This record gives sequence, C-alpha cells and structure tokens, in this order.
Amino acid sequence: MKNPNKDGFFGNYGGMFVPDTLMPALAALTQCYEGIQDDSAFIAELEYYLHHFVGRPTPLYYAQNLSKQCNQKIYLKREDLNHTGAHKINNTLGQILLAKKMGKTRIIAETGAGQHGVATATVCALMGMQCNIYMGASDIERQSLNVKRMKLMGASVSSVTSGSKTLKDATTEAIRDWMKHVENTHYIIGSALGPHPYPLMVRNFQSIISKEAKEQIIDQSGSLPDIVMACIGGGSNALGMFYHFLDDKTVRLLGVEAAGEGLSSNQHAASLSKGKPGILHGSLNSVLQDENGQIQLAHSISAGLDYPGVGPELCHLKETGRLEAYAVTDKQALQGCKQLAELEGIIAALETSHALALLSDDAILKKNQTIILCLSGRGDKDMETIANHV
Amino acid sequence: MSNVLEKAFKEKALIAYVTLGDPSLEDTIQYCKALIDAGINIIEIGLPFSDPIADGPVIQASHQTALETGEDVSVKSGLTLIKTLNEYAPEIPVLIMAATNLIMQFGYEAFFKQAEEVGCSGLIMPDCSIEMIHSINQDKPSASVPLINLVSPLCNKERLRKIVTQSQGFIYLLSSTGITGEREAFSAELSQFVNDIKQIKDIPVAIGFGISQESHCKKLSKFADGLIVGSHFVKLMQDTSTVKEGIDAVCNRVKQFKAVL
Repeated sequence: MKNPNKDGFFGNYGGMFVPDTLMPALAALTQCYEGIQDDSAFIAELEYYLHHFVGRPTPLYYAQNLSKQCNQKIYLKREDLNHTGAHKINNTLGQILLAKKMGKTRIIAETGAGQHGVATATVCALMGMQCNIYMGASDIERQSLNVKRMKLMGASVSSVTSGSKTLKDATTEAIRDWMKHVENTHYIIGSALGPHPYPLMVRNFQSIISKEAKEQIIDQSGSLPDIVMACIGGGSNALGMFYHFLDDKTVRLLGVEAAGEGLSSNQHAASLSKGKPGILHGSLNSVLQDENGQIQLAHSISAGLDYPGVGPELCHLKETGRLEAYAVTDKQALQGCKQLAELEGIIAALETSHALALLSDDAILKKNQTIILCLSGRGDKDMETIANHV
Repeated sequence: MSNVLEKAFKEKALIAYVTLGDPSLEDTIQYCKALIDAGINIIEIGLPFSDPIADGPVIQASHQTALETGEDVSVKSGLTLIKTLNEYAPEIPVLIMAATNLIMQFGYEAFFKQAEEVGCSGLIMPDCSIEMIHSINQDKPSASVPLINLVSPLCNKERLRKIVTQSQGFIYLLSSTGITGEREAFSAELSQFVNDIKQIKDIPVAIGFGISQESHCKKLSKFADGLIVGSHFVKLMQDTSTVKEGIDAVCNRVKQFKAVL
C-alpha cells in the first residue's frame, strides 16, 4: 500500500490529529492536491522550475574512491547540488505552486537548521509571496548564516522562545499561526510529517529523487541497486529516495537515524528505533516520549535530525519490515563527513553524514553491494560545528 | 449524557478552564473549590502537555509551569482531582481537556473506565478531529463519559451535521481566533451558527476562546447556553503575586460574569 487511506493512515500511522479550525484547510488542500494530479499545466510549470531554477536532474555520481575504501559500489544522488544546497526545495517549490493555485497570499514554515526555511524563503521570493519563518531561538543562534539568507530574500523570521526553543517548538508555533490566519495562509511543512495530506504530498514532491535515480542507476550500472539508503529526521529525503524502489523487493531500503551520544544515553533523535506510537504535530507516528505521553527532547549534532517524531509512512514501512532502521552517533557522523570530504572532495551536511557513516559497517551492508546513497544536502552550514569537532 | 452536565445547563453556564498543577496540585484543588464557591457551573481541568498545538501562549506557559514543578500532573492525577472535587460538590460537572496523546498513552479504554468511576462528566481532546474520534470510539466500551467535540465557525454544513449528530454532552464552539475587534464582528455569524447546531440536534452549545469581558458574556449568552473562560482566568492567576490573590481575582470575575449571564 503506497497511498494512505481517506483519513490519512499509512497502516497504523498518520491521520489528522488537529483542531477543528484546521480541518477545512486540510480538506481544501487535499482537494487542490488531488486536482493537480492530472493538471498538465501545473505539472509543466513545476517541471520548468525544477529544471531551470533548481537545476534538476541532479547527477548520480559514482564515488570511486569511497567505493574502493569501503569495498562497495557507491553511487551518490547529488541533492546537495540543487539550488539552495539541499533536497528541501523539491517540496517547497511544489507547495508554493499549490498555494498559488489555492489563492493564498501568505506562506509560513518551520525550520530547524534553516535549510527548509531558506528553501521556503527562496520560492516565496520567486513567486512574490509574503513569507514568515518560525525558528527556535536556540537554532537562530546556532544557524545565524541561514537566518541572514532568509532575511536577504525578504522573509521575516520569528524567534520561538517557548519550550526547548528548537524545531519542535517552531512547528507548534507555525501550526498556531496557521490556525489564526488559515484563510489567507498556506503552511509549507518541510518534512513528510504533520496531518494528512502533508506526509503524502511531501513524499510525492520529493519522489523525483528516486524517479531520476532509478533511471540513472539502470543507465549507469545496468541493473537495480542492492541497497538504497538515506538519513532520517522527519523523513522527506528518505521517502523521496525510497519511493520508486518500494516495489523492487530485492532492493534493501536502509534508513539511518541520529543516535546522538548513543541510543542508551537518552541524548538521541532515533524516533523510529526508540520511539513508541504517539500523536505529535497532527499525526500518529513513532514518538520519543515519557511514560505519561510528554514529548521528550531529541538530541543530534545535526539540527535537521533533531526532532522527536518521524513521518508516518516511514513508521509503517518499518513496521511491515520493508525498511531497515539503524542509528549512528554524532561522532560516527562526523567521521563519515570527514571521510567523504577527504576521499571525494564533497562536504556533506551533517544530516547526510549519518547515512555516510553506515557505509563502513560491513556487518549490516555486506561487501560488494551496489548502493545508492542520498546525498541530501551540502555541509557549508555545518562548517563551524565540523571545525569544532574534527 | 451525564445527569449533572444536563442540570448544569439548566441555567446559562459559566465554565472555567483550570490547568492541573499550576502552580501546584494543592493550589489547583483550593482554586477549584473557590471557583465552585463563587458560583462556577462547570470546571474544565486541562492536563499539561509539552506541545499543546491547540492552545495559545498563555495556556502553554501554564502547562510549562505545571510540568516544571515535577509533581504528578498525569491523567491519573487529573482523575484523582476530579474525585476530590466530586466529593466536595457532586452537582458541579468536571471535565477533562487533554491532548489526544496523553489519553492514548494512558489507554482509551482504561481512561473511560476510570473516568466513569471518579465521576468525570466529559472528555475534550482539542487536537482530535471527528474523523479521528471515530477511530478511537471503537475502543470505547460505553458512552458513560461523553466525548465533547470542538467546532470552529469555519466548519461547513455537511461536517457540522456529522459532528453534531455524533456529539454528546454539549458542543464546544470556538469563537474566532482573531483579535478582539474581529470578534465583535463575528458574533452575528456565531449566533447563526448556534442556530444551525440547534436545528440539527437539541444540544447545549458553549462558546469559548478569547472571552475576557462582561460585554462578551452579555452578548454571547444571548444565544449560547454556556461560556468557557480559559486564558483570561489563567492570566489573572499568572499576573498576581500570590496564589490567594489570584484566586480572589478570578472568583471576583466569576461573580461579575455570572451577574450578566
């Protein structure tokens, strides 16, 4: 089952756990989204911008030095080469065209590391829409460069000082804003999270990653890969990378979460591996929480993985055994980042570096496998963190 | 529908929202008793949640305060409070308002069973749409504790019918979420909305969100069966230096509001 049921459930996960105020907006969004499925003008416009503005298709690059080092055949899907430096723009572009179609004039978004915020501010500048980004006060401090980028493109950035002052609080604040201004505002959620239809919609906008990669790998290697892997925060790059391989049962799908300081430390963000079913930000998913249902703080060196929940479709794929979920620590991720930089001359985002770190685990991967790894973003934004640790 | 709830709506009901454990569990008990003494008709106990998407900043801060005390502010503790209040004033219905996740983790079946035992008059899950309640209802053995649904004025006729038909207890109608000026303009529409609800089913309608003035109470009570006051009371408690002063300030407001209903 690839699509959720009418209430937005992928198996046992998903749904629309939101206040009644938002239900009409979600219904309108669902209707508009269904409407564009065979709207050739919409599809053509999206393709136009993806090609000319974003720079798609992104290369599938055979990383020969890394392959040699790891005794694997490793192909990197270069989402880091997209305009704005990450996969996030695939989704923001799709959603802003939808917002335009629905006649909305104002866009809001949440952001953690600032990548989704930048991708949103970018498309808002492109389409001449008013843009307000919610960002935790701690993240604003940690990611000041991205804040400057957003502001330069005309977005306003609201500092969120409630709770842990990070992504989860920024998300809560964005949902509240949406409830207040739902009539003229569209909320661009950055990951395959939130109430239906967001997880479906974000996945589909991101699925261009695997659509291209599948053609590219067959073209370059003559066959399907043995393994497709990606890092997992909320799950947007992972689902985009997995989607067109879901039915290819010989292809192993590997997701890599952030183990932070270790899975037994309570300082991690491994919602799939360590969470339990719960309701957070509009959907039932695998949530890091205490025994009373209070949401726990996640921890990861990479701000983009620092979230206590995970997309409902990934929860379903894990539960049904289609997805294998692993977790690597902050330290391992830094090592993965360093290795790629030294061997291939590519500085990956710390999020992506979690997937890279798993490449040296022969027990999990086995030798001589053909692997596609989603290089979801570039690491410029993380240079300070990397410099402090490596 | 629970009998006490039905009786409470025999007159225009004033409903107060109280966060469990803000600033302490003992204070919450004293505060609720004082509200009852001041003439409140219904009490809604809000269970603190780390990430309340349906509440505004004032109530979120209150949740945060309660969570930070380190006291037990779980579902179980909420049910214990209801038992205490029921012993104090069995005629005053006490409701629980909680994020769906809190009830889910406690267990829906366990919740309804224990809620009935302590005499809880209803459950409000503000982040649970009617479509989702349907999936929960399958676990719910009896209708002894009503699930109270929220309706926003943006709700279309078809959905309104669905919600009202399935509703028990009363309908929790949201005023607007905008600023005060907008709210004044809203009331004409709200009265029509209440009419629409009553046409579908004869069920009490209580209006909540942003009620803070006698003028609001006067205006809205012309067509609503009850008024719910949340942030305004929570803020009064936050703005006073001692709990006692806060309780006095709120009880004073309760009397003023009741006088114009």
